[in-house]
Parts: sequence; structure tokens; C-alpha cells
Amino acid sequence: MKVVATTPLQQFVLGVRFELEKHLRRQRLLWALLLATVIPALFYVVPRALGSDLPADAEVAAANIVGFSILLIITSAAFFAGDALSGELDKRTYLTLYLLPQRRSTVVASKFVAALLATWMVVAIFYGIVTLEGIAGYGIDHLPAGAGTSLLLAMLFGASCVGLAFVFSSFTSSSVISSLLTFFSLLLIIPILSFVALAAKNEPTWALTYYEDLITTVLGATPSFGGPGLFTPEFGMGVRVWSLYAIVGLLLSRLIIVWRHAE
Amino acid sequence: MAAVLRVDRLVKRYRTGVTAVKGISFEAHAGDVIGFLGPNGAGKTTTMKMIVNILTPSSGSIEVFGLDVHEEPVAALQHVGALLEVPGIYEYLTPVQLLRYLGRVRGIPTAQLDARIDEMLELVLLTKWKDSKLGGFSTGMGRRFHIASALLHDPDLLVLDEPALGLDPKGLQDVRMIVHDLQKQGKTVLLSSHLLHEVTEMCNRVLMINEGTMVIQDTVEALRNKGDERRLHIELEEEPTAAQLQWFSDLGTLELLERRGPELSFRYHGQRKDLVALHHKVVDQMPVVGFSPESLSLEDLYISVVGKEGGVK
Repeated sequence: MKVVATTPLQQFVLGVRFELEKHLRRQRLLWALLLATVIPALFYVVPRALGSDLPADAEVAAANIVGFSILLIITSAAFFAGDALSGELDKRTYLTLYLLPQRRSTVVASKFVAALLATWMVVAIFYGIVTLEGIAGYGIDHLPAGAGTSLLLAMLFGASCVGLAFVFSSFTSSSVISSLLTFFSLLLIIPILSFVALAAKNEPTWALTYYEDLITTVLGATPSFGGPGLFTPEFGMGVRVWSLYAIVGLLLSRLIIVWRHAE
Repeated sequence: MAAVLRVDRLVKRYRTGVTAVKGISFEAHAGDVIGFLGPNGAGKTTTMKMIVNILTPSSGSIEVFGLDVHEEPVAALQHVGALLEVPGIYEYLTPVQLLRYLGRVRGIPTAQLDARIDEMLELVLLTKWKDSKLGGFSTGMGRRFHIASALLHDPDLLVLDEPALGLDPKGLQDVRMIVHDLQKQGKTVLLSSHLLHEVTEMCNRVLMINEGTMVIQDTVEALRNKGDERRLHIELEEEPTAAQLQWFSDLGTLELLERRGPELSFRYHGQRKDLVALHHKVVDQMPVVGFSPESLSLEDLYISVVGKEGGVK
């Protein structure tokens, strides 16, 4: 049988498809998409069922619901990226995957992009449902002007969370530890450290969760960050920090995997 | 003839300070089926992992088809198949789903891939389970699946680490047949096993390592006839007395290996021609029922190299 060597690009594309298929077959993607559909739907259905009125304008309504996208993004990052690399070691599937004639960098890149796409899919569905609700409740002309920016920010925040998750996933050999590290870092550790920094009158510009509010404030919501109000997350800095987390996360996880290979 | 696999002064030193492989060298040529032997912890799996680029050597080099595995891993490993240790399984996938991915990355033409997958699953008797989740497979079925995945792209060099692990007798026989077929096709197989009888059956050459060092490298035939060492079975009429055992020991050419009632098994260190004289001596000394010299088995050699404590680390 004649085999024809695949190019790194083909290996990358095949890797992304394979990872997405794995997310689908493990039903993680289905659960995340279900949450992305159910959470905003509840915000629309429950108040109506209880006879409450909708908020006065579409922007406030959207900001209320979109606030929950942050939790969903963090959950998605832990789901899709938390054990992307550590899981191969933990379950010993690396003894199949790493035998393939492809570079470790290709494996890391394809896993990263697959986790990113899966997270973005969840974010896109969430925003899609919120948009439909906005149209149903307020009409198409009253959709918030900042909705597109909010979606892009949510996607960028998702990318930064995936970047951080990949670093944890690259240096641990346990799926559970790397997933929990991702979850608790984004939900507890980094927010607590940010609060402490704010209390000490230092702006936590390094903390990716510090900029979460940008996702809702572009819709017109009031910043809700609970620290002493000396500082306000700045849009440009938030974009830069999130981008940096995503890029450095990818590069650092690649470096760690290659370094561990040499061990 | 150009070597399919060339391992040169290979060393693996872990960051913990342990040196698992200490400068081993060997070559494998087309059609070689090489048994890679050694006790647990001898460095076999570490060596195999370096050959397929799962681990990086501390020094030394490995060439596959003339390409350095660690400088050009993608090209070097294109025609290599491997089964190492007990790989994990993507339990939520079916054999067909996983083999499709592996086959595509390996570059098997799409038009041939499904037929090749069917052929491999038939070879390892998993056709009935081709669409079942891998998570439901038994250890033996998992092993069969991994053998299929190692063979999927029709590799020219196959690296098998304990391929018979967890297989039933039929599975063992199937592995033996697969290896024989590969050898007939001129493929090269490097195979580690603790089943020395299987190694004798399947392999034409043997490499034996102990504590990271190569201790034997020869053909199976040459090893079996190595020097003048033989196994000698002597059956006495009655159980031997202490004085009789001492008499055997004093001969200087016999080393007692086993004793089961009146049956004694020795390693004989002497010339073949001297066996006649030895036979006479023994018969003159005590009532003998049987006297049968045999070539040393691979097991005898193995024990003599690694010692009786070999593998207990």
C-alpha cells in the first residue's frame, strides 16, 4: 500500500476535526451547547411565566443575561481545554497519538484551535439566543448597539481562558487537576488576588478576570467589579491582556510539551 | 545491505538522575525479526520509546531508513508502526472512527482507507465490534485493536512492546502468524517479550539488555549453540544423597539448575566430546535411569545473564 505523507497543515486540520469529534462524542460539546441555550432561555421564559415585566430597554435586558456568559465561557474553557493535553498523559492515549508522524507543535496547535472553536461555538449560540430574545421582546430596531462588540469581547475572553487552561494542561499529568486548576483560577483565585490588589490600591492589570465587566459594560451596564472603586478596567488594556493570555498560553504550552518530551 | 534501523551509542538519562539506557548500539535489517529481551527495568521500553520519538535520547543517535528520528521525526516515522506498553483508549470512539483519523494522518489514500480498516479489523478478529465503543473492550480486545492500528499503514518497521500482553492462546498464535507474514514480506520487527519460547519461535535475532547495557546480540541459532554450554538432564534411580550431589559439584563442569526428586537438571560447561566420558563416570558412580544433554534454551541463557533475581527490582 502506498502512503502519501501528509503536510503539517493537513495534520493540523485533521487534528482540529478529530478533537472536535472527540468533544462531540464525549458529549461535552452537547452539554455546553445545551447550557448556552437553556441559560438565556430561562431569563426570557421565567420572568414571563411569573408575570414580571421585561426591563425597560433592550440594553439592560441584554446586559443582565450576558453577564452569565462569563460563567459559561469559564466552564467551556475547563471542559474543552482543561484536559486537552494532560488527558493524553493521564489516560495514556499519548502512546497512540504521539506515535503519529507529526510534530508535537502540530498536536498542541490543533488541540488549541479545537478548544477555541468549541468555546466560541458555545458563546455564539448563547449570543444568538440572547439576540433572538431581544428581537422577540423589543423588536429588531432596538437591539443594543454594542452587541457585536460584546460578542467579540466574549470570544476574546474565551481565547484567554483557553490559553490559561492550556498552560495548566501542559504541565500537569492529571486531567482532573488541570481542569480544576482552570476552573478555580478563573472563578476564585485570580478574582480574589485582583480584589486584594485593588484593596492595596494596585490596579490588577495582569488579571484576565479583571476585565470581564467589559463584556457587559459595552452593552450599557454599570461596572460591577466589587473592588474599592479607584480603577475601572480599560477597554484597550483588556483587549491587549486577553490577547496576550491567548497567545502566550499557546506558545508556553507548546514549549512545555516540547520540554517534557525531551525529559 | 542498508540498515532499516541503526541505534548508535544510545543513552537515556532522566532528570531524576537515573540512567535507564547506557550506550547501546545495534542494527536491524530488512527481514529481521529481533527479540528484545531483558528483565523489568532493563531499559527495553525506554529504548523503544526513543526509537519512535516518544522520548528524546540524552546522547547517541537513532536512524530509521537513514533518517535521524529526532532531527527528522516526521519523515523517519512515516513507515514505522508501534505498540508500546499498554496504550490508553479513546473510550467514546469506535475502532473505525479512531482508525480513520490515524489512517488519514498516516497518509493512507481516502479511497483505500475504509477497505484497509476492514482488512485490519478482520486480521485481529474485531470486525464484529467495528462500530462498538472502544471503552467496552476487554484488555485482549484492546490489545488486538492496537495491533491493528500499528499495522494500519503497512509499516516497514514494526516496534512491538510485549505484544502478547493480555492475549489468549489464540491471540498469541495470531500475533505469531502476523509476525511470520511480516517477515516473509521483508519487513523488520523489533519485539520485546518475556515469553522466551515465543521469541525463539518468532525471532531470528536476539538482543538482551540488562541494567541499560547490551549484554547479548546474536542470532537465535548461534545463541542456542553458544560455546559448549548445554543443559544436561540426569535421572537417577532414587533421590540423590547429599554425598552424590557433592560428587556432581566436585566434577567442576556441572552446575545444578533444578532438582525434582530423582530428576536433576544441570548446566554443563564442557566439550561435547567429553560427554561420553562424563556419562561413563556417572554410571560408574550411581544407578542412572536417564542421561540426556540438550542445547541451552533461551531461558537458560536469560537466567545466566540476568541472574535468578533478574526482573525483581
